Amino acid sequence: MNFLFSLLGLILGVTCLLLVFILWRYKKTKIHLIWLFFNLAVAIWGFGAFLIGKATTPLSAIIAWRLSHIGVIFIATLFFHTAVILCNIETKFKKIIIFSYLQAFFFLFLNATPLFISKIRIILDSLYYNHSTGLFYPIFFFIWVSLVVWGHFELFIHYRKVSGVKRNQILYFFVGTLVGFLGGITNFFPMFKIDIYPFGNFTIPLYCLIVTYAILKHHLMDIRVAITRVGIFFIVYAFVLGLPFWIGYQTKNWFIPTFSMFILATVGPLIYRYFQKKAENVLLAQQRRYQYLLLEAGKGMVREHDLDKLLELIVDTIKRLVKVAFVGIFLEDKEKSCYTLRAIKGYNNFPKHFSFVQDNPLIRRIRETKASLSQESISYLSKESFINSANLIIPFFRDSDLLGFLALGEKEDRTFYTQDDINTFEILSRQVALAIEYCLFLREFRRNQEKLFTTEKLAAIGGMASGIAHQMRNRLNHFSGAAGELVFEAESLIQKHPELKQSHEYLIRLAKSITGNVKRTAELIKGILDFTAIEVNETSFSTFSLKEVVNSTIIPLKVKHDLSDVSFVKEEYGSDDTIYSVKGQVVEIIFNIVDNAYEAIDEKRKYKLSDEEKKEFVPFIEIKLIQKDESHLIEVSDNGVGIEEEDKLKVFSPYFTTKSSQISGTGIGMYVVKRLVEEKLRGRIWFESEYMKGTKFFVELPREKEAKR
Amino acid sequence: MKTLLFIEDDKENLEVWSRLIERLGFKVFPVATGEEGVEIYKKEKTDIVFLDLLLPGMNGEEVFKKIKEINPQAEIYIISGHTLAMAAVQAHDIGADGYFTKPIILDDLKSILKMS
Repeated sequence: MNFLFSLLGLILGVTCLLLVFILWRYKKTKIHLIWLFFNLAVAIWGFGAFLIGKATTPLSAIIAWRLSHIGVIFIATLFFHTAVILCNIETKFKKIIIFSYLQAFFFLFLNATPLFISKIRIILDSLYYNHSTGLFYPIFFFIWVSLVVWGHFELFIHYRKVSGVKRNQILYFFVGTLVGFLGGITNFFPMFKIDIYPFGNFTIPLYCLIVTYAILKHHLMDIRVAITRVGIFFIVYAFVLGLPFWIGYQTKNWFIPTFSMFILATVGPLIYRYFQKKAENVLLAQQRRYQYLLLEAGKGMVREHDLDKLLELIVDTIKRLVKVAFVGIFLEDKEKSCYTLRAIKGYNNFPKHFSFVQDNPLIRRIRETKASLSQESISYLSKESFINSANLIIPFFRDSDLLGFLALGEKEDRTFYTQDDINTFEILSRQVALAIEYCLFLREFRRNQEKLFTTEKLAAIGGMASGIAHQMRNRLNHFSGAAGELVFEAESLIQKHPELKQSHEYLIRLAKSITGNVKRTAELIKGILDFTAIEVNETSFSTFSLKEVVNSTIIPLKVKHDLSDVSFVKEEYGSDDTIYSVKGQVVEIIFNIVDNAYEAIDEKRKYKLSDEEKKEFVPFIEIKLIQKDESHLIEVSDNGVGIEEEDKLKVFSPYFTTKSSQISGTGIGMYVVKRLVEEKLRGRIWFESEYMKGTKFFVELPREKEAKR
Repeated sequence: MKTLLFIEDDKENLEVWSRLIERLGFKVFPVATGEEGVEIYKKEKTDIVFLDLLLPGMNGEEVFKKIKEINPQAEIYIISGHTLAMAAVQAHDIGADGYFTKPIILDDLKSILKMS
């Protein structure tokens, strides 16, 4: 029996168990849990040592030694794991961690057999000490020491790399555990016949002190407030229960103490809560202040209706109140399906338009957990330096959709974000989400209102325009007829009076220019009508023959382009040439596309080919109908000039034209076609084109069933 | 000489285009209403009919039907105030042999008459 050995074991067991208790209540991340188990293992060793010291027979000593080793076996493994997590290198060491756990469980199994601990000898006259025999204990010891050394080595390497708060944390953890282990290792000496008293046991509780100091002073693992609360709890109850006990002990009268203990125990929780609040107010005074101000500011944010201004306001307020290195806000961009940095304060040279795609691990994690991310998780999930320097990410949601998130840098006083901070930010984020949502709603609402207004306007113009257009066309018709007359008159005059030839040829030219202008004006009127037609046209769906429609469309095109031969237009319909759609609009669409095909061929023939090439060029237009299960696919291909790469994006934009011919259109033809196909007929339109080779347009229209859906 | 019945309510247009068509070698019967048009067709059975669809009184479609009743083989071209595409649909629906849109262009007219 050795009283000192027992006492030190008990002290160690109790202190470590206290740490276990704190960690159990406040564990938030994996490192807390692993470290909890580490302390539990040390506590088991402590209580084991208590029993070893009290053992009076070899048998009870062996049982005590085996019990203590349930903890000892895991100490090195759990320390190594904690160190690796603290250094952010867990993934790199995954296999070694697994190995270290496997070997620990292996020795745990051996510990139940005589193969591990079986021999006891008495040292220093009174202490029943384990004596290493066989092969397994030395192997175990070797691995154990290796893991401890390796863990410290990694901590040291990492310590040299990092800066700021983290650097201090690692230093304390390193020194704390080193002191603990240097003491702890002295327990092994007598096992290998080096009979020195395990004086190191004195230093193990020191480890607890150092790490606790690091927690309080340097926010190691962010449980400062937790320690304070537990501390107050113990002080209050030591007073509540200890004072009556002390009085009773001194006076040997147990009536008053028992009574007062009863009273004090009742008021105990109240006193505890009172002190807890006071202590936290002192400890967290500054924090509480900005938390309050933040929530107040949050209420004000709902009043800002301009999204960009709102985002600026948010980052500015947080930066100012919380005093952080930087604040950034990311919002979802639905069109590009990513999260884009919309506003940032305090981070110079930030990457503009920085964004995360939807399936970025960081975004995925936020979506899964629906909770804020701490620095450890951030640096684990993202390698990007900007976001890596963020200490906290606070997401905000609309129902279950991730609307965006805030990224916060380090606090200027280099303290950590506490759970209270995070709670505050989470309340704030709800207000932010509400404010942003409202802004987005307002914007959408205004946009719809504008659209509505434009639609109404266009409908009114459309009605008026078709009336005016009719009148204008009648007038133009007269101009056109009169110009034709003029040509005839002038020609017959020239025949009768050859001396007037020169002046009358001028008249003919004038007449022809009138005709040209009539055509262009007619195109303009058509353009205006087309444009308004999208908004006002009636849509009456029916089933009709595409072949017939194409035939009646091609004749005027033939006239328009002055082509005596249209035999190069091929048509292919298969057995069923009917489609279900709006006839007038299909004609409009086919007309415009085939018209463009003619223009493209004309353009190529007139301006792009050499005389040699012209002779060989065989123009070609094909209109093809393919019946699909759910749609009719119309393909119109030509071997005209094609569309140049840089123009491809502009084909469907209004007022875009490349036609160099004199009677060029208004440039809204394809724009109208696209809108007719997509908005009125609920279909799709796209094209393939190669410059100087040709173009192929695809129009896919839904079948009856699909269109009615 | 081929004959052509021209039904168009705008008198100025009727006059100038009738003269032009005459110059192209047709005998033209210009009328301003559908009723007159049907009467003339009964008597003359012209080779070609140019019919403006938008007419006061008896409208273009009725005139079209009446003429087709008289002679199912009648060659009728409609004149439409709409866009080319709409005119094509109208012509297709009604069963016309061809169509013009206003403003008529002399060269277009020539090529269509050449084809007829």
